[in-house]
Amino acid sequence: MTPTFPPLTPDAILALAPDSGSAANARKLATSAKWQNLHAPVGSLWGQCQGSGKEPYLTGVDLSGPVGKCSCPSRKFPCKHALALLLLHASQSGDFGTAAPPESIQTWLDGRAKRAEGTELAQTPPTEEGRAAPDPAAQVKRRAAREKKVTEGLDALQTFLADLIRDGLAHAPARPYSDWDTQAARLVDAQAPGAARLVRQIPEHLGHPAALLSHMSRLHLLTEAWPRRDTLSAPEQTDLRAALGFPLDSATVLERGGIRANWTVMGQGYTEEDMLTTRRTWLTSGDDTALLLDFSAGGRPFSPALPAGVTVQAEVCFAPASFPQRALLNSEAHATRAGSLPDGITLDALLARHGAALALNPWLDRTAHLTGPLRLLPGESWHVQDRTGRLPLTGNERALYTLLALGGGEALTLYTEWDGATLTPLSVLYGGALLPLRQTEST
Amino acid sequence: MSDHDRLLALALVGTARGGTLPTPGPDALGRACARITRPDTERTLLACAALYALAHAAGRTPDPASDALPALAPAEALPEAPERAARHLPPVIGTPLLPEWLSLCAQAGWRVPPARLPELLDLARNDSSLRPLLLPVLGERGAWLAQFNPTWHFTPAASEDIWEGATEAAREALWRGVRERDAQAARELLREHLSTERVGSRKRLLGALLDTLTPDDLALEPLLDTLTTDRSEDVRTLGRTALHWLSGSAQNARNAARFAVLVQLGRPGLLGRLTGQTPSTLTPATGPDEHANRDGLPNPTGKDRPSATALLAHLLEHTHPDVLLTTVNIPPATLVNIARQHEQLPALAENAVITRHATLAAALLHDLPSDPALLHLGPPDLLATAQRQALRDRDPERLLALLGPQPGPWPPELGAALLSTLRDSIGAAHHDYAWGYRWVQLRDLAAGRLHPHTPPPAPLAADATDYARRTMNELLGTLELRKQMWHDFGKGEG
Repeated sequence: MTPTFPPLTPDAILALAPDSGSAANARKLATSAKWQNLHAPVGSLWGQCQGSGKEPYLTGVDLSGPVGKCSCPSRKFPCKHALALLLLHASQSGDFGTAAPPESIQTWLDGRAKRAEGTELAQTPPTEEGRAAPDPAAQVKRRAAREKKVTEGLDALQTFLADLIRDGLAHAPARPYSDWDTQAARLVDAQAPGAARLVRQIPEHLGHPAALLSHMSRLHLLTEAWPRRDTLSAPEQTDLRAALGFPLDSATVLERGGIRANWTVMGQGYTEEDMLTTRRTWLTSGDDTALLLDFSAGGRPFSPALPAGVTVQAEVCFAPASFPQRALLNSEAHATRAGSLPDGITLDALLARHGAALALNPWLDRTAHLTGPLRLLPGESWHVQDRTGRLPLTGNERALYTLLALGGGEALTLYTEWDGATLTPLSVLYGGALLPLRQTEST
Repeated sequence: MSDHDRLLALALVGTARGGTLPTPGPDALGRACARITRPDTERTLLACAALYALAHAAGRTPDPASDALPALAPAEALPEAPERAARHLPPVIGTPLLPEWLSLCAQAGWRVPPARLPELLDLARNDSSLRPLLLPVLGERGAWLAQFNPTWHFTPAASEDIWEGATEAAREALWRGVRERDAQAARELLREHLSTERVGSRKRLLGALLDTLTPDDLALEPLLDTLTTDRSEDVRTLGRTALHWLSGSAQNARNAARFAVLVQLGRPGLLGRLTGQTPSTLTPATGPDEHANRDGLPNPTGKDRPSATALLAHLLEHTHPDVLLTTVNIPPATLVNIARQHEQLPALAENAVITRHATLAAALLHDLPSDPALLHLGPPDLLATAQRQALRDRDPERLLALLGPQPGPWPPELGAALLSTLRDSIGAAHHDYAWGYRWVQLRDLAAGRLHPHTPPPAPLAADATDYARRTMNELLGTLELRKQMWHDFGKGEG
């Protein structure tokens, strides 16, 4: 039998929501009044929720995911009905019977169980049959064409940066906004979206000359590294390509195989840039830390999240890199018994680990660490502190005050991201378990 | 100045202005920097800056520790709400059921789990009606937490500095907070500040005083007296209203004396004796009345002096009933008679409602038997009878008037009858508008005020619409949830 997750807390369930609207709607639906049949046979939940239509929606949840299936037309996944069903089960499990689900849900559950067994048995790598073999000659040609574009784009960028230095950074804030936008747009055309992103970030630093120079110098490093890429090692080349925004070759990464182990989902962070939201899911297993990235453009919902705080059995394939961190899941993750978490590290150790990673990959965006015990210093700007010193802490206000409320002034152990300037808490060890810090809900 | 600072200074000024790259220092970083050569100054500068930036980022150590760590939160005196009760909180946050959850929590003597404190404090910031419900369940942790967020300072101690710096709304909140803890201190605060406040603030503070007025506030009479000649008409009215509600005020005594002069009771004739009615005549006073102006009356000797009936209306409406009854020494029924004879029942009814005078309300109900406000003050059986009649009549407007002011939980018999009426009235409706917004309002009122143990009504007819089913299911489901909440908080059926 597939192991199921330990009962999720309402916070962890709401953290699965693809967006804040779904979370708010799920809360409203999480009352037995809206449901006609509620059942929790072993390993799953199902029920019928009266929607706006005549027929109630039939909703099922496979607790081993947890993954939902619903007859509602929503394209969000999991939909508000599946979330509400989970919430109801968390708060009012007494209302649930044990009847077997209707055929459509049962077929879906059986299919999932079969696939799960299949992936566990499948030790052979996936065959290439059925997939059209790419034409190697065309591939080389396309690659050469892209590299030429990138070379031209980065050449122009280097000249742009040098011009800024020649004019003096003191004059940079007076430049029209379109200067940065135009330069960024050129880099997008040159198929170097990673560099374009860094150019778009320049205006954020215009008020801080030291930060501005350091940001520009990072960009300059990209323009210097690209022409010399042949002198770099293979992992360094992938770091450079990733920083320039070359897409990850998922098929190759998955083919290389990965680490099949019990991974604990430590927390999730979100970044919004323009119309693109990035979700970062951090997994740890022993000393390994893996970062899963998901993207959502234009407000479209994310794929279902792994619930923070749980442990899953999964094969995690790291993308090649000098400091392997970005990873992909090679199979569905299945819940398993939670292992013990390592002790938190000091702030000094966190910086040392981040520094060591930065020495391998100068463009590394951020790293994440279980850190603590830490004491919180609330104020205009928040800080955390331990015996080795203190560092700035950011995050949404609700999350920060939740930490303060939980600690009551006592030290806490946090899972935090460090981006070189500030720590962002993603979850907190509380009562022996990892408690995810929810994003603010807009209701 | 470090090597990096010199580099930054040159970058700020710009290499076009003739600057040259600084010579790196002798340390390891400087030696590494010295090996960097690029075709032009700008590129060399950027490459050196990259080296410094990365070295700084990789070599960063924590900032020096602060010794201004917050004090630890005091130990809790109340136990945390157990899981079976706390589990209901996330689904009810942001719904009309939250106040009930908070009240149940306070009654059980528990406090809110700490993880929920920021969300609840944020809600109370925007909804002042939640504050008194939240305060008893915040626990030590909640009170400790609130000090770190100025927008959560719902009940700060009123110091001179805070008062001076506060907005009008904040002063009102401040005063209400003090009032809740120490009524005498709140009176002192009014004595100290009211006369120097701006009009808007005077109005707010007087409004807050009226909301919380007790007989002990008669001690404020000298201050309230000064307000009856205030520049602002609104302030004058509020001051007089406060003096009206305080039965011992001199204003009430003066009005009662005016009433005694104005109204002469005759001897009842045969018919009067049979019906218990005493005839009365009105004789307006002709002499000067030095307090007329401050009591809100036109000058009796001036050209706009009020008619005898207008004066009676004013006195019936603005004199505390207790003072009228004792000064003239008449029973409530006689006072009602006088008002009826001169067609001033609405003024007297207004007075009875505003001063919440139960015996006068009961006497008025003979003449105004369907007045919902009087019914709420009068004998409970009259109200119950009126409610039963309105249920039989299926009159949603009257039901709203008769049920709206009645606090929950409503008696189960009343609730059961209401549920049946709601079920029957929903009929063939397919949406809220078809059912009628007053019924919808009644449904929402019922969801929160019905006793959770109200027996459910008989099921809907087989041909009921989906809307009717959904509506009744939701209502009964809310009751079910509240019943579960009561059970989980250890609250019985009482």
